[in-house]
Amino acid sequence: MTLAEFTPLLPDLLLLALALAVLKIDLWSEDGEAGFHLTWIGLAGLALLLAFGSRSDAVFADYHITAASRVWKLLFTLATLATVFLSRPYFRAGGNARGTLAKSGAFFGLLLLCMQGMFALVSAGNLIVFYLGLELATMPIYALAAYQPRDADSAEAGSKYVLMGGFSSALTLFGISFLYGATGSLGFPALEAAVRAAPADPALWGGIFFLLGGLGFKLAMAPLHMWAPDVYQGAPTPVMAFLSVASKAAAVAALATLFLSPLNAVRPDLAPCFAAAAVLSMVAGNLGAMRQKDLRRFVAYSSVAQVGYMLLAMLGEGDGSRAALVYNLVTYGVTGFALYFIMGVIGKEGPETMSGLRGLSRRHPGLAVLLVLCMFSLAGVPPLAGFLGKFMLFSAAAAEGHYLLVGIAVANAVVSFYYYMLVVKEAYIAPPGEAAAIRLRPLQIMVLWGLGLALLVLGVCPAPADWLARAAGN
Amino acid sequence: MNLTACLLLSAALFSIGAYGLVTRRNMIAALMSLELMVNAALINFIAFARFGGTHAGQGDAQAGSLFALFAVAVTAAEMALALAIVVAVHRQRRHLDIRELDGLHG
Repeated sequence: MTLAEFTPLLPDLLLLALALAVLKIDLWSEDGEAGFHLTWIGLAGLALLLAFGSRSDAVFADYHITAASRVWKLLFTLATLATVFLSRPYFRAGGNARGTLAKSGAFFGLLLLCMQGMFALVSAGNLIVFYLGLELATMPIYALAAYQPRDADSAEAGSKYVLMGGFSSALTLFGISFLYGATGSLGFPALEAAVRAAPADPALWGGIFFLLGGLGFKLAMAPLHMWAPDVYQGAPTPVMAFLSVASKAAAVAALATLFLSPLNAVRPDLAPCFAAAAVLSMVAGNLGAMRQKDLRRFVAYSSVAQVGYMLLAMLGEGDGSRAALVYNLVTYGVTGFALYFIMGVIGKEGPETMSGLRGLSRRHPGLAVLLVLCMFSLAGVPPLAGFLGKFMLFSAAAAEGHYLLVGIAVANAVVSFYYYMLVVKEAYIAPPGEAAAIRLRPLQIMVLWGLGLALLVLGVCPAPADWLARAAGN
Repeated sequence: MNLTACLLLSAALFSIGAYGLVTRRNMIAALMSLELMVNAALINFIAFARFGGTHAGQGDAQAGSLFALFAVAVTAAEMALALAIVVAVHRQRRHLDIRELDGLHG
């Protein structure tokens, strides 16, 4: 092979180099500034490279670079970039009421290693690569969840996540072992052929059952979502943001990688499973979110409900489903991060809870308007981004004739409007305490404007959706 | 030894591990149960590689052994990380009882 043939692999290799460099940079720079700048410049470069770089597909043994995998990678890169910006005040003395995080090099390095795992996951052409990617995408987050120094809640979140994550890995591994037994092979093409030849093999179904259980834990789909509220609440807010957007996207990608290509032949038989999990997740997430006071816990339940909507796309046919999933994750990521940045702003002086939002409309009217946009988008009100995301998911399921499910999902979206409005009520109507006006930093203003505009643009302008659909569907 | 015996052994190990994970109160004991569950999967891989699976035709025996090796390495890393978190929990709370870990609630 010549050197030029490795060009499609360039983003993955650069990411690895970046991760190792950032992990080590704390040795030279004491104040942690260098780590932050190296990380965000590197990630921005990587995003540009993925969006405008080499378009050619390539196969390196069991590592496949395709247009669809590039779209997923771009999504992971942007989510990580947003997380890095979000974590900026948390490393500054006095930047957050909960305490200051230390050693930004290690923090960003772990985030980047996680991303490397996600990259491997979407490029996998073999269950070994798939498993290694899945594990690498999860394990650094165990450490990150327990990252808040001298904080019992954070340590508790880490311990719960490592136990639950370990359990889900064991389930996944056990499932893969049966898949291997049933098909005699770990490569995706051989797997697909074997599944098509003998779709009723009990060993195959044992494997699929355990695998679905393991991935369900990672995805936090009901009834396997119990860990999510505790871990989201205890982890530092940037880690929660990463969990709820990037990590969730990786779990969805894992599900799509397996069940929309090598195991596609058995997916119609699995439809009742996906449908039940979707309905349970929507109901459990919506009921749970209604009575939360802590914003991080609120986000956890709301994201469980979002997983329910996303599972609807697993009922549709391949290309349309993939496009709907990617587009929904983009809109959810934009909306989520706008909310997390607002949480970061109010977290400077008080706790990141519902009552911390009180008086936001007086302290900073612009921020309060953005909060309203976020909540409308999460609830799926047109013309915001969240509406189009949900619409694509629902139409993917409706195209296959699952009208009852779509009806249940729409009813759930209406119910969710209630608790999203509770948040708005805190910001506008609840009696404010004595609080000073909020002053934002330039980076925060820039990011908040960007996310706010994206919320509007992604909701009214179908061009990005078309582009994503074409790229992810192929 | 045949395939059925190996699969029965691994099913027993997996069940014991899952039972232990649910019932043990000490976090280290829960991690040991987790290890049992992973070992059950490893036995499966080796058994399928050695005796062939339920599929028709020639399977890829190397792939199973190779996967088991990778999985051992990954699990070792996972346990190292878990024990570091156990140390962090113990520093904060002076105990490792899972049921007493209830600082987080809605």
